[in-house]
Amino acid sequence: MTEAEMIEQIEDRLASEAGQLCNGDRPLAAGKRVIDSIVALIQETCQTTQGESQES
Amino acid sequence: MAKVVLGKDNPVFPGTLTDLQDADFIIILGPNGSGKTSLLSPFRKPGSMGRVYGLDADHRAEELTSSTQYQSLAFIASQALMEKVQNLRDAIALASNSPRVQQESTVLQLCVRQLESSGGPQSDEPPILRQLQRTYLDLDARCGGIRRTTETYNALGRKLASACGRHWNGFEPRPDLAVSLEASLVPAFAGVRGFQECAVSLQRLIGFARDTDTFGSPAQRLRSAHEQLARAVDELCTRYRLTSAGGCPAVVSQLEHQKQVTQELIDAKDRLSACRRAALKYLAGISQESRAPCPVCEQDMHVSQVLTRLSEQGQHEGSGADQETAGLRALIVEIDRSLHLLQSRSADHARCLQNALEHSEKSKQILQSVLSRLTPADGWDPWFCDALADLRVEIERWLVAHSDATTAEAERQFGQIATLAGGIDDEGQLRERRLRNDHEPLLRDFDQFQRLGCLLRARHELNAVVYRLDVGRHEADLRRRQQLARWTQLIARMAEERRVQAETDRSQALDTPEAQGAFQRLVTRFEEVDPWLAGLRYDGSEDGRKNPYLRSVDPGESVLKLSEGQTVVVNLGAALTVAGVLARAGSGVPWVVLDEPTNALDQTSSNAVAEYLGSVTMRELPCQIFVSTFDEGFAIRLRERATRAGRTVRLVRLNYHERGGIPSERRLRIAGIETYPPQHP
Repeated sequence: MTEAEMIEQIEDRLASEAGQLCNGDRPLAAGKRVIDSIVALIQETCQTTQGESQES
Repeated sequence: MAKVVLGKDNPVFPGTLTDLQDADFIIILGPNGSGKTSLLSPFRKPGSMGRVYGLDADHRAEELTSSTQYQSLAFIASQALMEKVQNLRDAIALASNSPRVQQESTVLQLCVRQLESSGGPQSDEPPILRQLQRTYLDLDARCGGIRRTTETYNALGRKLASACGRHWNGFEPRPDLAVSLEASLVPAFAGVRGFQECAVSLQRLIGFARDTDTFGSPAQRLRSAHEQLARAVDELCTRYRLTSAGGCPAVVSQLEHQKQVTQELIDAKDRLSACRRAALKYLAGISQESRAPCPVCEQDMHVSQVLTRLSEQGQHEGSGADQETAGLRALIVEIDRSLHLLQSRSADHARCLQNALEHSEKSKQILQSVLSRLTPADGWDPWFCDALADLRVEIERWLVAHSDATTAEAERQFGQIATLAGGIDDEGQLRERRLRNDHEPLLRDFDQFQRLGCLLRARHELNAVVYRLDVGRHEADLRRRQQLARWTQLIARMAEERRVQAETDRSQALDTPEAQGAFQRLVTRFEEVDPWLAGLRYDGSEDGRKNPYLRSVDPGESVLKLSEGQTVVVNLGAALTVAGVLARAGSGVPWVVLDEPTNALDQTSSNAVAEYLGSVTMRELPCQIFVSTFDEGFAIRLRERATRAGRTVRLVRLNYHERGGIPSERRLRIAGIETYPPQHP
């Protein structure tokens, strides 16, 4: 995965909760969902590439 | 902005909305599902969803979405307008996106912390390790009760090396060394040294003597023939009064002479008889009275007397002569038999002599051959060397003593030599049997040695593989950590960029007197919509008060408690303020897009939004305004208010679009386009 693709993936996840992030009622829940989603994305990417990807 | 061209990923593709450059307030009116949001999506996220084009100085189409900044600020979804605010500063901050961007920055920073604390992913155990572990366990099972340690292996090796007459150098569990040691320590069969080299010669010697015993002694046969010949000679000498001097040939010669004499006697008698018969015949022819000399005794007598005498004598001699002649003839027959017997005995003797000579020659050859082969070499077993020395002495003595080997004594001594060789052979085989019995435990030890060696080698290889795998896993983990670090740095960079962007947005939209003044002026315009809202005042100072941004008409009211409609109106004012500031600042925001701003609003609130939004002048918001709505009343009210505010309004009507329909029918359906010029009072 290229860096541009990764940025797009992360921004998609941020956008999915964009409204909730600024909602005074549930910012923490939305933030946790985004964090879990991004961390899972990163770990999955590292695992599936077996650490051999040397993208710039 | 001149036209909107939908992209292939747009749900209502294909579709184009053109000739927009003549209008500055575009209302997209259509029922839910008609594709209003899809039509406006190129403003929010250009690309496969579509692109927005303007006209350059030469009236050529120029894409604007690729170079436009602050697109997110220019696209205002209904949801954004519904977001709660605590004060007017919140509203304008929200409109500037700085809280969301700041929140995203915070979320990304939390992502960085979580990724840094989570560590790298764990690698799985590869199949080769499990395969080697199985091999080790199999070998382990085959080793049975042997304690499987290197020391045990060395103990077995020392024992085996000692038994094999080798030196045990010890075992270091390195596979190549283990293989070479095992190969050199195979327990070769250990016999009486030198015995196998001489076994064939000894067996030949023993076998020759055994054959001599089985088929009879040539010397004895020769002696027997010699005795029989001697007895025959003696008997014939006695019988025929011969002299034995000269041996068999002389006797044969005498017998032949006697035979010849006898034959001559017989011949004489025959001639005498013939003479008598001639004389009688002659005398019978002359006068029997006359006198005549006797032809035998030459006495003068009468012929009759002579005839009578001859007749009598002839009769007498005739019968006697026949008997004597018969005797002589019988004698000749007897002499012939004797000669035949003597010749037969002599022939037997000659044959036995020949056999004895051949046997003697073969005996000599065997002994000389054995003597040359039974020469002890270095390293031969001492017992075997001593035994061979004794045997060699006997053989050499025999060869010296028995140049003529036809004697029974020679054969007897040969038999003694063979017996001695047989004793050596028996003793050698006995000793080798003992050694072979002793060798079996060595083989068992070696089997254990082999199994243990295989086991230790497998364990060593397993350890080596584990080590290599550890290294490989470490390197893989390192690479993964490096990649994780790169992603983490990327996220950290995104967080920092958002933090900076939030500060920039705040500084541009929130902390500028222009924005604050514009927003305050817009809030003042709420008078027609909601007098209470119009009474609010914006205070952008941050002087440490609890709610520094709020100053309502009621000094005791610290937090705004707005209805949904009021919230939308306040957020709308803030959004238009930010967009206006950016547009006036030449920041590349040629439009403001409001997607369904009246969602979830009641009719009163919807009317308020229409009144407020439509009243925004080109000076307050110098850019195109796009508004999508399903509410035709809202659209008409908005159109009327906007034209009164001096804007050229274009109303685009969309037909219902069936999302689940036939793909070829999924397209933008524009029912009509209406243009309304500004109404100048």
